[in-house]
Amino acid sequence: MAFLEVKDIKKNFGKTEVLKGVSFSLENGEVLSIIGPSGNGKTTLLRCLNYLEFIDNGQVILNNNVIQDGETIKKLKEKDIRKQRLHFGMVFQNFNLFPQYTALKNVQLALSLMEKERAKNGQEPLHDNSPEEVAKDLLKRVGLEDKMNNYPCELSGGQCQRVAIARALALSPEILCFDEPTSALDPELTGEVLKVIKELKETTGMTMIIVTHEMEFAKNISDKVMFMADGKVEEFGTPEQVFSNPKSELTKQFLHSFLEGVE
Amino acid sequence: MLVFVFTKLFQGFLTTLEIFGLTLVFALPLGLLVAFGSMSKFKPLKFLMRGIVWVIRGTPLMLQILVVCYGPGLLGLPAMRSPMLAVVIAFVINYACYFSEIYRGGIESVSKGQYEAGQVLGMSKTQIFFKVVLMQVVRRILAPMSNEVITLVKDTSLANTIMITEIIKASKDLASGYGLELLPILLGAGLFYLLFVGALTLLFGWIEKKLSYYKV
Repeated sequence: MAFLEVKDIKKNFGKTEVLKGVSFSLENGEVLSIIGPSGNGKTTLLRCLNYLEFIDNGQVILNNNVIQDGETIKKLKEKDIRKQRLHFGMVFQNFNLFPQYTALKNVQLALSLMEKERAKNGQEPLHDNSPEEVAKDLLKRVGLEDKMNNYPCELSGGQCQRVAIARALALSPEILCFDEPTSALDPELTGEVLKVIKELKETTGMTMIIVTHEMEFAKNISDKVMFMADGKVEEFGTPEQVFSNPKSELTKQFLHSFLEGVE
Repeated sequence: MLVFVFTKLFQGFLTTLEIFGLTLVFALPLGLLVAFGSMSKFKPLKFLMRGIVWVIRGTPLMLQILVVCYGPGLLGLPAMRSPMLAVVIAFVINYACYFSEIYRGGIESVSKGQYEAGQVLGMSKTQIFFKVVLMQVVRRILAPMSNEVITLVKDTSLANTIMITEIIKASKDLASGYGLELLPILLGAGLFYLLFVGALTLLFGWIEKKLSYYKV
């Protein structure tokens, strides 16, 4: 069985069916890019994986453990959901940094709270190092060691997003999700964020799921590419398969219009 | 004579401050509870709280003071022993309701993304509220709160309707008891309010400056 198995996920908002049975699988260390037109369920899928929306049907299986099940999800207690959420990390389109804290405190906050809780419950700490040291290391890794004591309002969009990536890494998620990580950035700032994501793949082999409109980037970084349309997986395969040799008519149209748009 | 008038007015002003301080101490936290109630997903609680806020904001504070003071007696219950207690109860309820609406506005103005960021980091609802949301709320509600607090300073004068010798009642007593002209004494009392509100304005300005190191 694959590292991550997503089986027949369905999600409705009222009468609108947003996800109509999404299934795919991913191996450990693989990077999956999800592409497709806006409003077709890409973001909703990520939000479901992170328990920000509750699925109506289907299963998410990680490492042979069922971590989400449409049958039982609505009966879960907050405590269980909090635990399950930690399998996934999430980087948002508009960063959602905490404005009242410095970059360092943003990265450190959740980890500090968690280590305190773990100590109280007699559990081993998550990291050997102190939360502050972990946070400093992570900020160094995203190239922001000289911005640790700056507040988000003093940072550029690209720097904010790198802080957000470090923050998501602090809790050592098994899979890191990115929801259009560069869409809110000025064009000249997208490069630094994409570079950090690429380095993350190369240095840590982190399993990642990236919703993106950056086709070149998706082609270069991904092991798998998924094209979503109308709440379904329209096409799934290696970047070569999806970009160079798409089977679905919709995929062809989308890639065609995208290339036209670029030129 | 001037010293005598000043002393009397100052004694009255201390009572004014007492009502002001006690109201803040109890109404600030109570307002937060009312705000949570009026945002509750549990409908009966939500409607109850919003109903209470409607009644309290919809009737004069003076009427509320009279009801709290004389209401129990009229209903055959033991009468309010101390008018001061009645005034503080009425003020606390009244101001808690006004504060609750300011809190609610502040809490609802914090973007959903802030809660979600906390959630995906495994934080509990309580942690998210106290570690992430609250400071942003404080920052946002500072200006409307300073307005309300300044209004409270002057509303304390309503206590004179049930014979509490705060500064306005003290002025009237001086005028009638010693045959003095009322208006000059009241102007003197006004000076007390003015100076105190000036101090509060400086205080709020200072807090605002302290918190301006980040943008929300």
